[in-house]
Amino acid sequence: MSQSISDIKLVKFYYRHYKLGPQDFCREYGGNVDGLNKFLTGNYDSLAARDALRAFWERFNTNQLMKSQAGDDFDDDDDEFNSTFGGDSMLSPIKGSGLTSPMSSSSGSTNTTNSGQITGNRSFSSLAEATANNTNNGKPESKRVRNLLKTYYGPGIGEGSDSSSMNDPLNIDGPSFNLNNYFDSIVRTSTLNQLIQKDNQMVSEIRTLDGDMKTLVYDNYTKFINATDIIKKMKTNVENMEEGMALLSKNMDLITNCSEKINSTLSVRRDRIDQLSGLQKLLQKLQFLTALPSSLNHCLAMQAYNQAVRYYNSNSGILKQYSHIPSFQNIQNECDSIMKTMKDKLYERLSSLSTSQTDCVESAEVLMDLLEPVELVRSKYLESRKHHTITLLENLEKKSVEHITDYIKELNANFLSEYSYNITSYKSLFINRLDGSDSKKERQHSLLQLEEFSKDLFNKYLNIAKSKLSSFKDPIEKIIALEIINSDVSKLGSELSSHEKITNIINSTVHDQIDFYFDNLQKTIKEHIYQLNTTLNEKRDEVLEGHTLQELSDATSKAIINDIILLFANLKPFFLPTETQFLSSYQDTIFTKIQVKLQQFFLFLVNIHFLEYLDIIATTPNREQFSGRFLLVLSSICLYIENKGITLVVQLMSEFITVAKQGSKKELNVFSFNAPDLCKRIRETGLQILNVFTRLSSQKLDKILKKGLESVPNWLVLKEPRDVRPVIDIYLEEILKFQNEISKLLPVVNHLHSVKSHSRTGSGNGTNTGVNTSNNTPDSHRRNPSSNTNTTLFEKKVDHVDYNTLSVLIAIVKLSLKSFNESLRLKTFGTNGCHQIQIDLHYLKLSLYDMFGSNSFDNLLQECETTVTERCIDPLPLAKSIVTKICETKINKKKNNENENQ
Amino acid sequence: MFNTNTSNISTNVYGLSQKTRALSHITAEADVNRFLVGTTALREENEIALLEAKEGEGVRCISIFPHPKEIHSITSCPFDASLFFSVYNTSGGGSNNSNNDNNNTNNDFKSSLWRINESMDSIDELFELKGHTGTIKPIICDPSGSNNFIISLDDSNIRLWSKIDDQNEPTVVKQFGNLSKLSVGSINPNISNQLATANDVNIKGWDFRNAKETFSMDKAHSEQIRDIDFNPNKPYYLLSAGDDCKLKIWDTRQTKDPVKIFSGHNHWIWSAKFNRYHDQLIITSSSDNTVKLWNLYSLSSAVNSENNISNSNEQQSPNEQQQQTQQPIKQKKNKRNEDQLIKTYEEHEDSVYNISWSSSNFLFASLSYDGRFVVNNVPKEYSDILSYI
Repeated sequence: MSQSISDIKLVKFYYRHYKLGPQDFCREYGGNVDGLNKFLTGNYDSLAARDALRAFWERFNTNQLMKSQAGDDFDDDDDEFNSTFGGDSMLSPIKGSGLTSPMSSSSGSTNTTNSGQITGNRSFSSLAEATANNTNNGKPESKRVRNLLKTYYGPGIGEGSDSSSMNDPLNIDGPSFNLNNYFDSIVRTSTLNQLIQKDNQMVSEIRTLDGDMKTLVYDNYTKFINATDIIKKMKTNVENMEEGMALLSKNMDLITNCSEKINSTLSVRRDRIDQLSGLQKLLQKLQFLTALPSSLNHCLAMQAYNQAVRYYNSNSGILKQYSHIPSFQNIQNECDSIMKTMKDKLYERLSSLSTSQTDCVESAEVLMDLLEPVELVRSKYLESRKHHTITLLENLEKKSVEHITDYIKELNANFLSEYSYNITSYKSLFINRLDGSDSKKERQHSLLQLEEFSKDLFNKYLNIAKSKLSSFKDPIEKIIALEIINSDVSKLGSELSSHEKITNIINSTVHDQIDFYFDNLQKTIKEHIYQLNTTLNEKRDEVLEGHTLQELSDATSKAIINDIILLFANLKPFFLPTETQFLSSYQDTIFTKIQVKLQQFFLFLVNIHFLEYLDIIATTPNREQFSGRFLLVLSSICLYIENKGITLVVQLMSEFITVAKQGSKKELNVFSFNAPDLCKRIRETGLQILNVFTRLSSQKLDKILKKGLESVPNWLVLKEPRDVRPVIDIYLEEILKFQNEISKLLPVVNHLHSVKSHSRTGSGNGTNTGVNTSNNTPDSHRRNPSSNTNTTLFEKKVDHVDYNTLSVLIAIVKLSLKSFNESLRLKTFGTNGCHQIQIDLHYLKLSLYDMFGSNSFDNLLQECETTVTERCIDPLPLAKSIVTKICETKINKKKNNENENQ
Repeated sequence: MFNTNTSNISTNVYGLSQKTRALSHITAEADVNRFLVGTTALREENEIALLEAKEGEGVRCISIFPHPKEIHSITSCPFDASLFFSVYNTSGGGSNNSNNDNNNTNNDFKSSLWRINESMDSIDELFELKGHTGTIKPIICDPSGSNNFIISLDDSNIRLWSKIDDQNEPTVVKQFGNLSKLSVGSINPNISNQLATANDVNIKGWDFRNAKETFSMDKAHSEQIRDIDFNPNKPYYLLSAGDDCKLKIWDTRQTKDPVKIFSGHNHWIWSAKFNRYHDQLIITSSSDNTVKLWNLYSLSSAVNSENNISNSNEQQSPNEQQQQTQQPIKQKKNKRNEDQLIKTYEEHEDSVYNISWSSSNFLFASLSYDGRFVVNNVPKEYSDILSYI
């Protein structure tokens, strides 16, 4: 039960009932003040304090009990009872209450008040209950005990509180039962039957009571017998034990004697042994200390730096402590110098190129152990690693590359392993080991340095990879190489912000590659065209034979188209599914880039590239380098591209886009590709080139006519014209040459009659028309000298050249006639000169109609005629018959010539 | 009867009744834009019209003077507005018919100095520049405006004439050249005594006081050169244009290649002129019936003076300054800094043989063969911005 008094309760009890300080308490009950204070604040370790508290508790309870009993005593004036009871209850209040009950009951019959005593007594178990409360407010616990006793000892016992029923003399079970009274009352109050019944009842009750008593007696008897048996057994056993005990005590005595003997003999030397063993230890230490330099040297020689540091560090304290002793000082100095050389060596090793990674890490570690400044070691370490890695990279960079994938593999194997090792070792060396108070700052610093270091190296690595990649043009290999880089680097983990860089390198490589394709395409196209020009220049007029010119043009066009096809073939690998799909995240940007490039390319091709030749030609002083023919071929190439090339390209592009879409996982932003617009543009470009060609060609014709005009020294004085000037024939021949050349490349439209055939078959017709128009025109022009509207119409038409031989030729001739008109305006003619020109013009008109079957030049010729009459001092009309006659003879003569030639 | 056209209709076109080739801006009149236009009619009566163009009011004819023979070129004297040279062809025409058979020895072309008399109704010939053979090219006066000398060209020779005054006939100081097919010349206003001439496809530079050749550009064009003009503000730049329809700009220090080529005309370029003040502006006229205005910013003096914008801004009137600061200059800056064709003028319906800037900075006149005289302005976005450079 005493265990059940918890420590908390003890403490509570103390606080409630002890009025003085802890010092007084300790003085009274023992235990020290500290222990008690601790105990009071909840630390229940101190046994002394607990014992003291418990003692206080017991004493208090006892005092309480004694006080209450003393109070009772004063009421009862029964000293004897009080003393016996008080002594009894000194044992333990609860036990006491448990034990006193039967005792009090046994003596209870003598004193009626003792039951109240008991209840008062019992109430002490609640410790702090008021003592005056000796009536029916006992705890359920005490009630239970009382019932127990009641069943055992029968009713009437312990029911002291029920004083009314107890003091009833008629109650047969009550203690104050009075037989006579009972009998009298029964006899008096009961009928006979009732009496008889009562008698019967009582007889049977008596019988059962009697039986009960008998069984009780038997029970007690058997118990008693058992007890005697057990006592008998105990007696015998104790007798045996006594012998063993005697033996034991004897042996014990022996042992005591021996130990006393040993003790006494050894006691003399014990101190000395202690002294000696201490000395030996000291000597060993000293020996180690003296041997320290040599062992350090040994370690140094063995390169067992770790061990050396361990020796040194474990002993440096002692050495420092005894440094006032010279010999120790010497040792320390020696050690220090050795350690210094070691440090130097370590630093050397750290910064040496040949040091392996592990050695390097070890060196750094040892140096740190030697309490070298972290920053120094760190910077040295980083420096050396950097140097090392850079030389590694440099070596790799110098290496000639045969296969980019192999190279990248090698590069990755060398660099990345080194790189990652460096980083992990650095982390273990400088970042994870720090534990000082300033470690946070230091760590940050270390991390910063590491980042810088790694960034630098990684950039170098990427640059090398990039430069090597850029020297390779095979897309598939390149992509594989990129994939390797991507996967290898991603293995390194995201510890570094290198992912971005990888993205960069991939992007830039891919973009470089795309740029390269497009640049290359432009270059090759340029080459094709230059080649075309050189062939044209080399072969000169040979190309006019057969279909050479056409073939040449087609070949160049096809070459250009093939280049574009090749471009798409080259671009496809970017979108073919790769193993890791690493490109897929970039595919949308790549695709956009390609599309932009494509657009640019077509713009380049269409708008710039071909037109560039015009500029080149314009700026080239050496006119022979680019002939007009070259321009013609160029424009025919434009035509080819427009007709066949663009559709092919568009088809290829849509194929490409589908491939790209399949390959890519992301949504691709497809630009709309305006093929008709492209066609239109290239057509315009071609036409522009054709225009320049037209102008160039017309200049040739210009010159012929101009020379013809200038070959006559004075147009004022001239003989009467007899024939068309030969220059007109030359002019016509030149036109034929142009026609021949142009018709090789540009489509011939029906309107254009082949000159030779037509001149034979349809000359009559042509002549007639010519005559008819010539009938009208001279007169009308004389009437209306300024025909401005016609000229304007002409000029607007000049710009409009189309892709056919007729249109180009007409444009050429028109331009040359325009120039002729200009030349005429600068001259002054006499009558004959004017007539000569009129005849020439008429012949021209007939011949041109013959050639082209159209009157498109009539206006211009008319213009010329107007000019010449204007510029004539004395314009006399020329008889039409003369004009016709001269022209017809001329034509016939020409025909005959041709026939003869054939 | 000719004065019917002088009615005050605000138009930038004036029509002459005859064919015309000759046009000269009267440079001596700095305040008004006056031009002399000469007709080129072989058989009819020829005349010289004195035209005035006012901005916002169009062109009006001040006076018309009869001129004997067809006029091939007019050069107004820069030192006297009433004096001008004309080059004329005496071979045709009704009055001198008798000369036809006799004077066929290449001296049909004559050049004379004329004075417009004070009543502004006729002209008097002061003297003739004699001794030319073949076609006489436009007379060249001193661009600085002095009357110290003039230069004349015929088909083969360059003549430097002495001081011009009313009384004495000038004499030939120097005669040199001996080239073939001389066509046009230009005096460099920035380098004294420097003359450039074009003969056929070649350009030559001369020191005309010493009659020495200073530079030459052989085969400057693929066809005949019809006009050359020195940049009025930058000493070494020369333009040339001709029958190859190209306008080329040359640096006379590096004559191998042109520094700039413009092409755009569809037929021969007959005349090409730098703007006197804003030399990035060039006008060309062509027998494709158009006049084109070019912007040659990169080689102009505007590039150098760009730094002085702020200075010149301060000099301007406050009104103008306010206007310009309001304008988004930057946007237009790019455009006008590009060397490109600014505009094609298509008012003419026949070959435009002559063209001239006027006293107003941005006004120019062009003359086509059919007698149409047109005055045009540089587009506003160029003239506005350029006005403060």
